[in-house]
Amino acid sequence: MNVATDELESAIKALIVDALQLEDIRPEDIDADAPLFGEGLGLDSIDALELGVALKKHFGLTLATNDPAIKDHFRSVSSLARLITSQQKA
Amino acid sequence: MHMKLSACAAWAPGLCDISAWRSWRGAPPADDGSAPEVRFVDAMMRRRLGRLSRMALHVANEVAAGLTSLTTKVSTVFASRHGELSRTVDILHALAADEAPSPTAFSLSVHNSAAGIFSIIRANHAPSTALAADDETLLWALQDAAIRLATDPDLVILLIYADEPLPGEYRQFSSVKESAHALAFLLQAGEGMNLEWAENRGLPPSREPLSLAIMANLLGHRDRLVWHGERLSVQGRHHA
Repeated sequence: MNVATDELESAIKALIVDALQLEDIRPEDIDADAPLFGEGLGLDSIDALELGVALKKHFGLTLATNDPAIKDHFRSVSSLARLITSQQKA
Repeated sequence: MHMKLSACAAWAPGLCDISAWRSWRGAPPADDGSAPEVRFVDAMMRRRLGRLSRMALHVANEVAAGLTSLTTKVSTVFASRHGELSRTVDILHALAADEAPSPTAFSLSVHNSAAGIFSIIRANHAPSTALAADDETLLWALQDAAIRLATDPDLVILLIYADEPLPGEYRQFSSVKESAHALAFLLQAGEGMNLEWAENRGLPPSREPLSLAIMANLLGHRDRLVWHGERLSVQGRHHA
């Protein structure tokens, strides 16, 4: 993992804690490869929408809700980081 | 209307339990923006609650915690004059700034948010009403409870009233001196709490909200309840 990826993942973790008001969780408690929804962090469908809005706002991410791969993109912090990186390159 | 008041809870910034309310006189303390902790709500649900819902759930839990297992499923009446209006205003601000509104704020911006969360955390499937009726909100919540008790005298009804001051943009339209507070009453068929209402025949409306006028009478700070609203006058007396 390079420094840029590490920084991006930290920024996503901080955004998750802040945007989803996770009172008892610190950004560094989040495992970048652990599932965000259901098991793992235990986020729900409203969190998915809220996180989508926050990612659009902070990283200029464009999300197509009919994209069949969207569930994979939102699987974990590391998959979101890969999505953001791929859009920034494009 | 007449009912039996079996239990009561109240919360306001600076008046965090019923003993503080017993020594309270006159206007509520200055609002320090604080909210009750509501530790009994699961952390993943609690994180989204705004102050109005926290206040409503806190007083609801104070009263409901004393219920025996036979009456765990309690019919509820949730009343708030302005409801979750501050969330709606946040959404409108986002739209005006051409930003996406918060899905969380949207999901909890409905008037009966607290009623829904209360039913989820207590797995309470009993009937629930959520109502708003201008400066008469608490009167009609009590009337709703009284009608349901007249229909079924075995019912136990938990009435929750919670309000916050209007958001700044709307404050100029406020007719009463608003303050953040929440009340919960456990009501049963019987006597004790007696209220009458009639058309207000030209008396100047009270600046005090009906909820605080009723509390002052319930706590024995005033012998009688006499309150004049924009449309109605309410009188009453509580015998403990």
